[in-house]
Amino acid sequence: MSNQINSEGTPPTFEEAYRRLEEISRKLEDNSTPLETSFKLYEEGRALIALCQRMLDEAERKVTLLKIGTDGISTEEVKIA
Amino acid sequence: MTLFDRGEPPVHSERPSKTAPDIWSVSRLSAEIRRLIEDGLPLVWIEGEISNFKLHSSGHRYFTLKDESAQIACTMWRTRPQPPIPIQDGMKVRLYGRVTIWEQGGRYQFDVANLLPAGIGDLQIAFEALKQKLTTEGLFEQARKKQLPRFPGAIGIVTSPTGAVIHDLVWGFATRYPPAKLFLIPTAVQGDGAGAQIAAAIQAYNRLNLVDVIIIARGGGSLEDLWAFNEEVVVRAVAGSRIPVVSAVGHEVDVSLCDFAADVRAPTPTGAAAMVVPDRRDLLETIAKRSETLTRNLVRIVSLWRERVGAIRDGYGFRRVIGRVGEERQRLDGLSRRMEIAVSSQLSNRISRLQGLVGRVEALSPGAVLQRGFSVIQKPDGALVRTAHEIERGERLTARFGVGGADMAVERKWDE
Repeated sequence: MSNQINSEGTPPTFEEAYRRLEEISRKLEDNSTPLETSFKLYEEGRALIALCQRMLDEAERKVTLLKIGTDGISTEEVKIA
Repeated sequence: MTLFDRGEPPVHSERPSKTAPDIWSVSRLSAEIRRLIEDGLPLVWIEGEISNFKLHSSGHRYFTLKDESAQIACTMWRTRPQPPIPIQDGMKVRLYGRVTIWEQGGRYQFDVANLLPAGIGDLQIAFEALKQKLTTEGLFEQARKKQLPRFPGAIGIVTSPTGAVIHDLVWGFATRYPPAKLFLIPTAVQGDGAGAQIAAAIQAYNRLNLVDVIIIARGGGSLEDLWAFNEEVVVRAVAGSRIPVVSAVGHEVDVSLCDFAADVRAPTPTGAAAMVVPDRRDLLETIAKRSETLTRNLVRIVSLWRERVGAIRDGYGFRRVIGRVGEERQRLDGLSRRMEIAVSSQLSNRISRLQGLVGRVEALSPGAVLQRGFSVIQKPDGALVRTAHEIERGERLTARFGVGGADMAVERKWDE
């Protein structure tokens, strides 16, 4: 798994992964990209594709209920059939 | 008798009798009035305009209903059905109930069992008046509209926690775009207080700053049912939201002021998902295409570099740097091996394509061209001769063939 997406070391969001993939595709179109870089980009691109596909796997149908009281916020996860 | 004698007080015809004093207490009289009125007047509908409205902290409502020439105090107990729209002064309403006597206060009043707006016309007028006012303020201007994010990471929903709407929204978002996290701040969506709750939820999302877009949703209904979404406090909260707001209120035919203030209006709650998130199937298709392009481009880049290195290897002007060509070739071989390791697991068919491309590139290289019977003519300084203009009669030239070469002199030349 490529971790070059963001510097904080947190897993990338779908948007970050997708936009980086777009960027890599653009760079690989460019003939002036050095060969060594092209291989690195290619490998990163393949990892991002796998990541994006995994993120698009069907999700659980759940929603986080936010209850806002005077003493703060409580949350509760609710599943929808 | 003069005119002035008329000032004398009139003599009461019925003085209290000294023999049988019949003196009622205030309570008795009040009870009698109460009996007469409550028995004598049926449950009725009355119509008039509200003034002096007060919602007591106990939940009871107090107001005065009046017309051009009379007024009556009204009470609506907390246990009565919720009015379909928030009560305000100046509102024309129809009340169902009966007159009662409040003996302690010495007053009669109307005990309201039900309250309805005095007709759609009045609501429509209220709607138009507020719309006019907020339009003048610029709340609905197109320039205020914010763009929705392309890939919202988190979506904040404002609706009732029960019913079909929340179910449809969660189902729609989760199936269409799994990466989005879903949040719900539950609120009432009709009746007194609904507007304030909805506005507070929008403000809470703006304060918490954890969602990228807010959806306000409610199923279809009458203008009265949807009235909360025409309340000024809601419209202002929507217009003032820093986070983009999607209004998914009612069916397509139902128009609310919330729709006008929102950045995007969804035709129905179910339709909201399609407007807010991309569809995973489209994304997966795009990603699959991108995957193919990625491989194709890598193969193309490798061919390109082979071609470049090949040109160096075969170039006549670069024999002196043959050593470097060797290095480049070694480097290329090293990279080729890496490429084969990287690609071979999934792309053996791509390799054969690459080899085809390389074959074609080599067919075009100068060495191969010479092998096919073409020659290259050079001047003594190594410059290639492309046109007869470049040479003189008697000039000495060198020809290169597929194998070997020959020195020669120009005997005759023609320019075309």
